Amino acid sequence: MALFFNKQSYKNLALEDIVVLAQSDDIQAIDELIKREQKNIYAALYYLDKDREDIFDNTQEILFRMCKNLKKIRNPKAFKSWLNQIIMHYYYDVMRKKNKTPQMISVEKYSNDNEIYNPYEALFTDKKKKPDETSLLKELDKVITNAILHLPEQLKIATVLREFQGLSYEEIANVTNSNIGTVKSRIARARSKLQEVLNEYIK
Amino acid sequence: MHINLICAKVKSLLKDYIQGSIDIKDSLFIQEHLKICVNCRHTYQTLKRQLSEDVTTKAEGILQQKEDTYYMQNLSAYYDNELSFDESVRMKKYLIKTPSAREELKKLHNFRILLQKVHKSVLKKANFDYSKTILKRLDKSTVPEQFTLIQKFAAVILLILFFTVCLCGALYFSKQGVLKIAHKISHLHRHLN
Repeated sequence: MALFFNKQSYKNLALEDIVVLAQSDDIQAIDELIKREQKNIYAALYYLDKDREDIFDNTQEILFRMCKNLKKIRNPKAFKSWLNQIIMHYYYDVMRKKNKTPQMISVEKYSNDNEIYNPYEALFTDKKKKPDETSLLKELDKVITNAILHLPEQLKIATVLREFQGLSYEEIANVTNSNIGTVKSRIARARSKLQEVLNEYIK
Repeated sequence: MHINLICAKVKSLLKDYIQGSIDIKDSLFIQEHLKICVNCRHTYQTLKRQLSEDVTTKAEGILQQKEDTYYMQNLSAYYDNELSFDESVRMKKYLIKTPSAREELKKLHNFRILLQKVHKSVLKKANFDYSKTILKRLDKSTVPEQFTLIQKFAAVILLILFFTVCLCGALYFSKQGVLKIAHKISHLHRHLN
């Protein structure tokens, strides 16, 4: 059945179908899967970790793991959730390694759920730029991504998984090993904190 | 004069009396006085009404606060369609009667639109395509195909054959060996005798 799909129609298939095809070693399906998910993986890492020298390598590594372990998923509908587990495990590993090296002490500052590093720091350093519209928009991008980067660890993770990876509360609870109530409150708190930062900036 | 002093004392104790925070002696004293003194009785009744109103409005205030906090906390979940059917019905009713909550919901919506704009520009930075690289890497890392069932079966048969041959050989040679030894023993026996 897979043999009759031409290259174009793979783009129109639902994610679950691509996953099933890829699991049966259909090379075009694996190719399509990589093409669909690589930017999402990149974006997740972009918001999670401010050290971006290795972001391209990390993206590739996660993609490789995704393909290598694809057959382990029993329910193709759980693919997105499963992929995000891979991303989070990889991210935790990276953070753990960084914790061992002395120059990365800053990571520990953000590990407390209730602590927030000064998010306004990013705002003041960028104000020197010229106020024309395109650079204002770029600044806003930077302000928001910085604000997300500086959220307390758990709030940041909940935000990334909800706002950018589109997972449901239950899926987020599974990925982060917490319960739905906690996820609910983290998402609400993260949104209110981010809105606060934005309001300060607009003033 | 004497009565006014008593009235003054009673009036000062009335609040505690109503709230039940005075001792039994004073309580009985006040009770007796209220029976005979119209003025104090009047004050007592007004004060009692006032205090119970205060209590109920305070209780209502606290309840309202709790309600507001609950709804504000669940606004986010409501926006994400994560509330149960009943909860979202209650939330809709709350939104209809509370303009400030509607404001908050609008702000949340606008904020999310902004987030999605930012996300688009972040995705633009990912102008790479690793599909070929990853496929190559996958190819290199593939372990040779696992043996088919037939191959496994054949291997087992061969092993069995091998062991049977070894066993036969061992028995054969050992049979020879046993005969030789038996021969030698009988030879010795005859020799001794």
